[in-house]
Amino acid sequence: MTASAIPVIETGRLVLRGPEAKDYPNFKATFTSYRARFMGGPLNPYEAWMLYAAEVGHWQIRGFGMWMIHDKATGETLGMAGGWQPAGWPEREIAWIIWPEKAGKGYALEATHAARNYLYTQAGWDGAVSYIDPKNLDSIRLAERLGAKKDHDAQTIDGNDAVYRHPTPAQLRDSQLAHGIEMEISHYADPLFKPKGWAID
Amino acid sequence: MTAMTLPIPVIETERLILRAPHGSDLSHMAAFFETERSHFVGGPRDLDGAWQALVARLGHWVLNDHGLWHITEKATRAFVGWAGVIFAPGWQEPELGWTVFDAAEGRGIALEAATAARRYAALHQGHDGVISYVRPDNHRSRALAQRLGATLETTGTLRGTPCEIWRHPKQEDLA
Repeated sequence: MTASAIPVIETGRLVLRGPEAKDYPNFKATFTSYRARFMGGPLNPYEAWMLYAAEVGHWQIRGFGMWMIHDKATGETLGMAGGWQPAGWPEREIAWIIWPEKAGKGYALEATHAARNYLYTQAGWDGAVSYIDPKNLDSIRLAERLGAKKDHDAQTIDGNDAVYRHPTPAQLRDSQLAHGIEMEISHYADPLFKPKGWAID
Repeated sequence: MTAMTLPIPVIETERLILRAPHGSDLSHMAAFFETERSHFVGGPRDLDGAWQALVARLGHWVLNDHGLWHITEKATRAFVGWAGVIFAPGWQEPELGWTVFDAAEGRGIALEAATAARRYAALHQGHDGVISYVRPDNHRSRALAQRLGATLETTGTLRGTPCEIWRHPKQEDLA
């Protein structure tokens, strides 16, 4: 059995595919580490495997889920991004995680922007939120770069999370925001200012 | 988007249909995981926990090519429990597991389902002569292991809980 029914998304630097068995070791490495502290971790090996199985099974029940982010050039995995809605989630969520050693290169922005576009234009979503631990500053920053705004009135999962509301498809389409996101992504892929060497003085 | 259809085989027995876990099974799972009966199989769980178990079962099929079937009664289509081969970190070998809800107790449904699941796993999934973990205080499960022809092999632990390890006969020895 494969993840072949799950749509594949390509971006400039990335390929997003359904999570597969061979991707598990990378997922496990992150979720059994301190990096997973904002996502209920660190997990023991049983919990990490069951969570991965849940990531896979979520697609089967909901018809959407978290894609595995691959580097287009090397095929290696970089993290996950996509839609997430367990039972009891007040609204459909757009979520992401980047493996700690792959952070700082704009991969989460590029992948999540592409996943959101897919969910908005291909899956018929009319909006989304992200539930973020208020201490997870990296994620809050990314939500804001994606144009999401803190929604103080929205229902949280359990009171320990902040709700960031994404712009709607109509607000995003051909907007300055969308162009800004694409420009930021292209800067990561091909920086405008490249140091040509060390300063001599 | 609609839910996807995994190629999980369907098994038909005299009274039962063993099929893939469905999204609509969630409320029944949540109700079961609130009962004391669930304490033998990882319960209690709240709704979040029941959801996690449901989606993880589907992921288990994708990752392992085998897993738990949900048992339904042919006559009523009622969802009454689950059976199949489970394997995850902490399991020493793939395990034949089974659970039936209160309503299905005492009618041989667990026996019928476990027999069919065991046979399918042996013939089509490469898992013959498997083990079953049974909590020593789970007398009904222990009795079922015996009726299935399994023998007590040793004791061990599963996720920190002491368990008996029962070994099932191979299909060729069941004929």
